[in-house]
Amino acid sequence: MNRYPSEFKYSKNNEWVKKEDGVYSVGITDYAQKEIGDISYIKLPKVGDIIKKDASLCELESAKSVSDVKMPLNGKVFAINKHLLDNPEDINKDPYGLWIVKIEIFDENDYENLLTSTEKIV
Amino acid sequence: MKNTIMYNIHKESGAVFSDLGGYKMPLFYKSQKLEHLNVVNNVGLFDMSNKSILNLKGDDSTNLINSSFSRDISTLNIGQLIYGLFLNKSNFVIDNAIVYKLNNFDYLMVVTPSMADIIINFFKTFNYREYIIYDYTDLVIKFDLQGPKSLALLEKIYGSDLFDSFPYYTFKGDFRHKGILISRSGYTGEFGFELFLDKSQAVTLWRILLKEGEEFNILPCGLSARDSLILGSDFPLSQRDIGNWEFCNNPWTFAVDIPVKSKSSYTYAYVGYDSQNLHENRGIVLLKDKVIGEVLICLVEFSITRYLNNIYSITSAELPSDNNIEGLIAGYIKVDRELLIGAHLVLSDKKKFVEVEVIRNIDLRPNRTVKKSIKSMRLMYE
Repeated sequence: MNRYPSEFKYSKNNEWVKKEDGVYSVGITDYAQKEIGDISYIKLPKVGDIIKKDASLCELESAKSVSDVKMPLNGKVFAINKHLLDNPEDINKDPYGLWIVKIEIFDENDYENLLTSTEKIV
Repeated sequence: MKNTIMYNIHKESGAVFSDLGGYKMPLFYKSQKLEHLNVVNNVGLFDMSNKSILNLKGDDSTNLINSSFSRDISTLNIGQLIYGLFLNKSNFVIDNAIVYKLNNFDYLMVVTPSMADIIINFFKTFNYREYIIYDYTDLVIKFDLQGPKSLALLEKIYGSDLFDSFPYYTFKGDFRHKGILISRSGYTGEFGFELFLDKSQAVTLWRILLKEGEEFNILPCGLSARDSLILGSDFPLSQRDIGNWEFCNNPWTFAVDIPVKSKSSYTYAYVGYDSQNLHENRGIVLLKDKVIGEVLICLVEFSITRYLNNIYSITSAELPSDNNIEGLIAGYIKVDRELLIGAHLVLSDKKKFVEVEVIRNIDLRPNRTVKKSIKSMRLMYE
């Protein structure tokens, strides 16, 4: 798997953000899913939650730990991926193919300031 | 003391009884250790009928719960449940509860045995009147089927379609009008379900579960095993781990939407180095010979052990197969100061002294299955 696909942007933690048709999707990187281990449970935020950058977006639980996924941008949750409630382990199989939340952001500059694939590798 | 409708069935199975919330309930059948291990490895069946079961309905129902509940229930969807606490104005715990959203303005609340009247009277202190409470405690039975094989057993009885989409913290069905409600809230820390049904059907279902569960090595389990299993779960035991003191600085931050910052006390999970328990399961906490708090509970968690400085469960793949697991003492302490994870303490009941270390409660029993998805549990037993 390509460690940091170029069509995404990245936080300094290990979340990716994808902008498509004005919609921002958020997920975790391949590196993050390996670190967390086999994900057995996800605690999602609620639709409508306004979450600050670097605050807790959701929790992923594995046999090893409970990990906080951080919100990469200031924004408001407008969709949660309910497929993950019954299938949290699918994140391990396809971390870049499965978004966790879709958000509205308040400042486009926040998105522009995220890391590119190249910057993330460095 | 009252008997539940299940009393004679438990007696036939050799149960040893105790008074639990005003009801004679089974403490254990054969042994607490055997039952505890069987839940972690296979499946156990608990009669939890002494729980108080209240149905709150009416236009003011949501606001009434929200006026003192530690979680906001206004965003719950029908079919979802939530764990939280009823707190008084001083942030002391009145009781913990699981709230189920049956319908708009229609909730089920499961609280500690014998707490129904206290909760009902507490609600009267708020300025809401458009509601009604039905007490189903003596009309409805609650069975907890807990352990990794619980899904296979229920699918054998009810078919697999019912369980195709069944995330943790959700429920299906309704016990009113002689139906059954099945939920996933996970009180033992292992994968499982709670079953609520009219008491007229209880004996029949209990017998069916034990008969059909034989191939899955099912055992009936008493409340002693439930008490030791809860140590490895996310939840505190009401009137033991939480109670009539300020709810703050403890491992259960998920139980409140807005944690309170206070220096009144600190609660920590701990684990010992062997299974040698205190003579009493309460006592004092010593840090370098200074008393810093009290032991809230000290039990043996039978399904864990130390190996190469780590704690493992009997189900951990990393543990050598010839490792003889006796269990470790574990529980909760309430102290007067902040402690670091890994801090070494001594617990004492004045007859005995045992060394323990402070631990995150999530690390107390690794490899728990409680939150696993239906899909992963099916794969486990394919």
